[in-house]
Amino acid sequence: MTNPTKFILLATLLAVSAFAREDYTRNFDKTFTLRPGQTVLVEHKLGEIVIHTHPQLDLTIHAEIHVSASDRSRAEQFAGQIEILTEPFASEFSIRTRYPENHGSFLGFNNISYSVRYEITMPESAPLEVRNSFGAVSVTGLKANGNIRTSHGNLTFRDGKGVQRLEDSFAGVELLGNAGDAVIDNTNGNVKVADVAGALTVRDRFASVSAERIAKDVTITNTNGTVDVTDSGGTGIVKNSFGNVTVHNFRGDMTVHNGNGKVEALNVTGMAELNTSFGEVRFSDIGRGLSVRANNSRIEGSKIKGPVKIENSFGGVSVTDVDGGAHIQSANGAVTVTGIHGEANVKTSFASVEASEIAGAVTVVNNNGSVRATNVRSANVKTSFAGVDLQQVAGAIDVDNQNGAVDAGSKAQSGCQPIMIHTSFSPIRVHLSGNPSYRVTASTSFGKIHSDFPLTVSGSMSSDSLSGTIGDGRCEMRLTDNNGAIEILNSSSH
Amino acid sequence: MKFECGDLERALANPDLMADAQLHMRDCAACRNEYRIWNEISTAAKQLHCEWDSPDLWPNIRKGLEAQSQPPKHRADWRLWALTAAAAAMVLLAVLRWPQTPTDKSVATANLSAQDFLTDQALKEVEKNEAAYRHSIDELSRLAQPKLENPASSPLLASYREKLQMLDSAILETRSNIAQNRFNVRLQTDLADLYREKRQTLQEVLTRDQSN
Repeated sequence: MTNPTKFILLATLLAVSAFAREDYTRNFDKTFTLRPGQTVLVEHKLGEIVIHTHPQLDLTIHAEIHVSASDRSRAEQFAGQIEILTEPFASEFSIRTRYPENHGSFLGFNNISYSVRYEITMPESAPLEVRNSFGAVSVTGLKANGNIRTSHGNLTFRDGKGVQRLEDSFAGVELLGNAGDAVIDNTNGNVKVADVAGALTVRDRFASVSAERIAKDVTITNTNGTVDVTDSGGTGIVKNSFGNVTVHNFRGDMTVHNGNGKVEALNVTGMAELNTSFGEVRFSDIGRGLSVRANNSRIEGSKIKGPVKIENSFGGVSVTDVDGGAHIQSANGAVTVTGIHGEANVKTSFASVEASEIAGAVTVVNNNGSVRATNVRSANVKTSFAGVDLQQVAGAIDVDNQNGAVDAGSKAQSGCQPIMIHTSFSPIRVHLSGNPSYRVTASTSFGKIHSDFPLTVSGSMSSDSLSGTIGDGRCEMRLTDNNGAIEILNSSSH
Repeated sequence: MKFECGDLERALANPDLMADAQLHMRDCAACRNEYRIWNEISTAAKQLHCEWDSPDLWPNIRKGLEAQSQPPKHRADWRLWALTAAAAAMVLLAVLRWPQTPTDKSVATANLSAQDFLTDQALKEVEKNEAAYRHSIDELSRLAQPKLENPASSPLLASYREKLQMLDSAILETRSNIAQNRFNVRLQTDLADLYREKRQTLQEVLTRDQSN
């Protein structure tokens, strides 16, 4: 056989053998006894770390060193070069993985691959510090402070006690059960936390955060992901953007600063401050008052024990059943308020306002939008270019309109409440019942004045201007129009 | 038969085994994830299949051969030289066959190691698909670039820009680790996930923020 032939055969054989790989696993097992309070430090890379605890002072390390190479001897040789370094220092016990540097290469490509998996059992009372990358970390039963960091691998922490600091990136963090505070930093990975008997702080980006049953304060800062807080308490602060925020069953005050995302707060026993933009705001069962600041948002909710203050623009506002006053300032958005146990103060423009069942005074400042109020204590309304419809008003009525009809009905069965109405280019209708008592001054131009009630006229009288009294004339009624009829109607006879 | 994780690679190549594989994957998150990743790469690669010249391939191989054969210590190691030549032949064969081989089929026959490491064949397929995937992402990046570089862009685009920078940094870090640990399944999976996320983010930049 010639040399070239030999070479081709050999090369073919080698090529075939190059495609067959061998995996090799070497185990490392050691047990140490720690001093009380000695910190366990694990520094690792490329592989999972599983940590369990027990009440004893023993530290048991089991490491599985996996190597894959083109043949078994290479794999075995490389596995032998991977070191698990254990070093006891005064205050800490260090466990480190050391991989060989600059291991064999092939045409610039590395032909050996490796990973190391740890299973560690450590004293539950020993503080723990873990630094890993490209591997998951799981810790169960740690009853001391922990500082656990990994990346590109899930981080799971269960049944702990103490202050826990967890950090990850590009993978999820799950903390289930800790009697103590917890701080979690993550990037591009979801965070799920439950059952923390302490305060929780979470900072995340580009992923979702959920927190359930957090006993003390909850502070969550996130972007580009959803945030859910459930069955928690203390002081809550949630900052987010480009994602929805949901808060259900929170015992305490809750503040939400969101942007470009919805906010939903249901059953917050304390004060709720909900801010967002370009996202809906929904709320219900708020215990101690509500403040909402939003823009380009629809705002809707009910059952607030305490005052309500809402600022919005370019979105509707609907509030029901408020055990306090309601101050709503909007622009380019309709406002509906129902069942307000205090005063209702509404300001908007280019949209309608509806107020009903208001125990206190209703004050509305609108522009280019209609106003409708039913069964309210009193009504002070200013608008333009739209109608005003006020029915069952128990107290004073004061309307300043332009280019819009006014229809006002007093609820007072006997006696009187002051009525002042001004408009133009539209009619004024006033509905009275029982035995009204008014000093009437009515004037208009290009319109007629009509009264269902007998009027005792004093001074000069014309079809478009009069002064007189209805009944005893105890209250003032001033109706001023321009290019519109004025009618004083008896609602008992209609 | 009792289907195990190690059988997944055969199931990918043999439709008769797929029913058993599906049954197994109901309870096996690892296989489910693996299957999902292969499916996604397969779909993406099929959609984005393209061919291009590799002008640096032969010069690099020649350079490698020369480098391996020139130093005295390497000259003595004839096995290494032969292995290099054989590998070069295999690479050439793979490159020549590349355009004719349907990418999805390649993925379907990819030979994944059951546990921590890829086989040679699986690695070859992964690297091939990664190149195609990277090429498609480069194309998307090029399309998204004007939007992302616009200084008057919206806060949403600013956050996308930040996310893409972060993903690029993570991709770089993962690739640097893969350079030393090419058969490591975890690293390759992480890289595939990062590429998938980058592609998704770029697609969102191009579609979701049309108004800006």
